[in-house]
Amino acid sequence: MSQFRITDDLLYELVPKAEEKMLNQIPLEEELNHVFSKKFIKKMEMLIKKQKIKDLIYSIKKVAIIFLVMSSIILTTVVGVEALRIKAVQIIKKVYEELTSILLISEEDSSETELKIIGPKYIPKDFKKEIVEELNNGYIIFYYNKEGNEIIYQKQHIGGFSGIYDTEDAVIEDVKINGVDGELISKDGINQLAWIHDGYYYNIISTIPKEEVLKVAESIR
Amino acid sequence: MIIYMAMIDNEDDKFKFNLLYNTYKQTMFYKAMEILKDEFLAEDAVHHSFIKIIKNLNKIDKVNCQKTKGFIVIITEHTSIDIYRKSAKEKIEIPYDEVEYFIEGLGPSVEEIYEENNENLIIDAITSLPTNYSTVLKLKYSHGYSNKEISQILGISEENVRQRIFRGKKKLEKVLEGLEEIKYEPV
Repeated sequence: MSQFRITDDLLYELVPKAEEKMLNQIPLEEELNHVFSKKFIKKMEMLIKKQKIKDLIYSIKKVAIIFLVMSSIILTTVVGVEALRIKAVQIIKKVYEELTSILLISEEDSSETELKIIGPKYIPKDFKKEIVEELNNGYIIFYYNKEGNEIIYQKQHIGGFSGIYDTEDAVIEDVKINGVDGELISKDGINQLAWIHDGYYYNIISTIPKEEVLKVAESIR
Repeated sequence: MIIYMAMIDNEDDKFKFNLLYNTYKQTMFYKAMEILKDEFLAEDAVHHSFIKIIKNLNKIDKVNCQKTKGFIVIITEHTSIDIYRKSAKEKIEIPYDEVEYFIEGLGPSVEEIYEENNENLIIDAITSLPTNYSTVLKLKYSHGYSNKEISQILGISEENVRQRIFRGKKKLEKVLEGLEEIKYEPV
């Protein structure tokens, strides 16, 4: 018969010490040097990128906001409200192009609008809709395939949009989506397509080829 | 027209996940390899562990501390055992509770233990417990989570959590009895 009675009090006292001992037996992170496969790195980059977007969206409510008042020069060079919005986005990008990533929020009209969640008509065959994230006046849909590849699709009313551009070492192309101007940003195998149309900001991020990203974009009505 | 540029006020909040990845990925791979002994499966385990960590990010305050390291290791061990059970090498899927997975090389041998005093004896017995029991015991008695919270973290039922805690305690008693028998064996 054991002289040891394993009580909760005993465990609360000794399990932390046991855990400490177990953790101290693991070599330090800097001493370990496994070289991760390209496949793993790609999967993790997508996961991190997706998490950054979520973090930024959730943080917007509690952050300090810095106001930037647009110069009157812009107001005199544009015609019409739609052109003003596009011009403003382009100017912000130009001003901050040295930064590796920029977050833009435009708040002309912050009133709530009813936005039905509809994804693109075309999504590559093996991808499935997994997560839908509702935002203020917008939404993000995450599609995954069995290999862990991802397509992120965002639609946002321009009266409260956020655009994330990672421009360091990226290839940036001007493209047209059903006649509308857009920007295709490619970096490390990840393609990001962003455009503004009819009061909405659209954004697609994925590792699928550029042509497929454009096909997805063009299927959005 | 006014454009606002929003700044994230806390770098840690913004990049907590990114920071966790850079701080612990090697450690996680190391722990996964101890269980799976296969680089491909171990990387899979690390990836799936991070997916689980995302769901529990609110439980992590400071990234660089022993408490967080412990939590990350627990998640990795649990995920690795899951993968071990389901790996193609096994002809049938082994129920989690029947896998008494011992991580080789950890914890002192019985002969080393029996000379120590009682407290160290029990500590060493805990470290020598099968991983599927020690993960639950650590979450409860070291990290202070309730059974309900443990069930959410590990993705198992509360009943399952209770069972593993119960079996873990019983196993611990058996391990200690075993040591006792060795200690008092007549010469």
